[in-house]
Amino acid sequence: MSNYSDRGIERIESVYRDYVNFTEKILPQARITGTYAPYFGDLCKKLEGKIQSSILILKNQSKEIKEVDSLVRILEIAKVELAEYYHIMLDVARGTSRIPKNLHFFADEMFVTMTFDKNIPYLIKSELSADTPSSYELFKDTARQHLITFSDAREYLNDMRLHLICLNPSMIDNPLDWVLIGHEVAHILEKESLRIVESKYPQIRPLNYSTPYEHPISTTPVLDKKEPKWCLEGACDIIASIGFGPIYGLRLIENFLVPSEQIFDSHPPWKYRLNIIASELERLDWTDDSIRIRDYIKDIKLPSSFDERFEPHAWEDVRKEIRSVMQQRQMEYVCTPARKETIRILTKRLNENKPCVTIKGKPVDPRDILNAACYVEENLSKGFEFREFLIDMIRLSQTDKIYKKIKLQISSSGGHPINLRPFLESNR
Amino acid sequence: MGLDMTETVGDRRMYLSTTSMGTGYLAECLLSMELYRNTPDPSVLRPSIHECKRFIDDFISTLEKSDGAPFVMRKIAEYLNEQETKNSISYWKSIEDTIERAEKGESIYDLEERIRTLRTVIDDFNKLRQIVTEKLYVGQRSPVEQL
Repeated sequence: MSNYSDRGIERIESVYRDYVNFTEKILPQARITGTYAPYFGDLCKKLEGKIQSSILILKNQSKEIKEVDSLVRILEIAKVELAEYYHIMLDVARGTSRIPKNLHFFADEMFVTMTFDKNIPYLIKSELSADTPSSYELFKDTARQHLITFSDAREYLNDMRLHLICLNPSMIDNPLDWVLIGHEVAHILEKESLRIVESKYPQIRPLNYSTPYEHPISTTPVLDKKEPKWCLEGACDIIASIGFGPIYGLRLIENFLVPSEQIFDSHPPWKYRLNIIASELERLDWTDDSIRIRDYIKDIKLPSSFDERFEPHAWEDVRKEIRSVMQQRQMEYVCTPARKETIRILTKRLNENKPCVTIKGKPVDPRDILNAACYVEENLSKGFEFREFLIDMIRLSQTDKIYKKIKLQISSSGGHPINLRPFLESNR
Repeated sequence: MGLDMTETVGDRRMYLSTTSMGTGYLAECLLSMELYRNTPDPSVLRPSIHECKRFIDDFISTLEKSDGAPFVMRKIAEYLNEQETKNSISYWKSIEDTIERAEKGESIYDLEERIRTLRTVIDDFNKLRQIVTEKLYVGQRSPVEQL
């Protein structure tokens, strides 16, 4: 029996040795971008010792197991767990390297505005197999669940969080698609701070069995299992639309809309989602864009069995709460005559490849540049040079915005020197 | 396995980590039960046993088609049913009952039979994990390994 035990433990230790090689040799070479990049490396490194002590516990206890059928299962599961965890970390190290710095800007700003001082660690990851953007939490909700039999590592991961926003490389290359990040940031905000949908539908809660379940039991009636998930997706679409304006819905159309759609549990059909987005844009006075979106979706076919008037039971309450939070945090991107004029001027300048950072001496909101880019001539907007130009304009506009913040901070501190680090980090 | 076409990498990652978590908790249970077989004393049970019990409890309520069950658990329970596994509620209740009795230090005369049931459930969950892993990594393995 000890032979089986020794061999099983040896296999686990061999994966562990490879992991140590990764944290010591490969990870320090990875050029991970974003404010929280060092956090990822630190956690991987700290887990090394926790995994090692967990293996030791497993080693001692496995010697006491007399039944070979049980022993081989326990050790094989532990080995697969560790290998899978290691594979995830390798994948994250690769995918989070060389992400454009100013892609982080929009997410940083949303996090700061919506949560004030609360730090929500996240990284942006390039994901080859991701056609649609997505997000997940890497440590507590993922690594921990892959290291259940590693007792010390599991305990350590209880309070560790790092969210990943996954985008297809083609979206990372196209600044117009950067607004899609808004939906993923909304998922993270809902999970970490808002909990508007979760309070109505606890079915979407992340699984965590380390503490007894504290959330309220659902009082919202549900039609079927898709209702809570659809409500969540709709809520995140609303947050992105309110925060970024028409460009969010228009990029969904450009990337995902197809002539005929099926119904799935995990996400509502695009037609359904775009209808919600169009309503929200109408409320924010983006009437022309709302009509434009409705025009795109009017002929999209859905299965005849699907009732297009379907609405989650808690939808009205959820929408009301989101609107209220976004308004309080001044995140609403409303169409005003001044903004309309700004976008008209910016569209003209973009068509002519002219600078877009200020208009009449006033700084331009980077979101205005992105929304104006929607109206640029199609031939031009698909070109590589135009995208590069747009990236430069966004970066300059972001830098200008940060510079203004610093100036404001200096004047409010009576001209005393201030710590520039938070400002600089938010633009790393 | 019928994964939705609209499921994102994040969704699939969640299915994988949840099936992995399920397999891990069941393996922890098995380890605890084997230790208890040697020494029928609650102090030999692994500290994770409370977490295992909460997970099993949640899964039983999912199998009983509770409306409040987590979305991801309902999907996994559906997939397990598609596989025509032996994951009946009675199997899961037997595991839960075994844990509760072991926590009280009771003698369990059919512990061996219960451990066999536990191994069957582990194998089914493990199979499911392999299927989800394959779905998740289609077209992704090779570039990752180039790092």
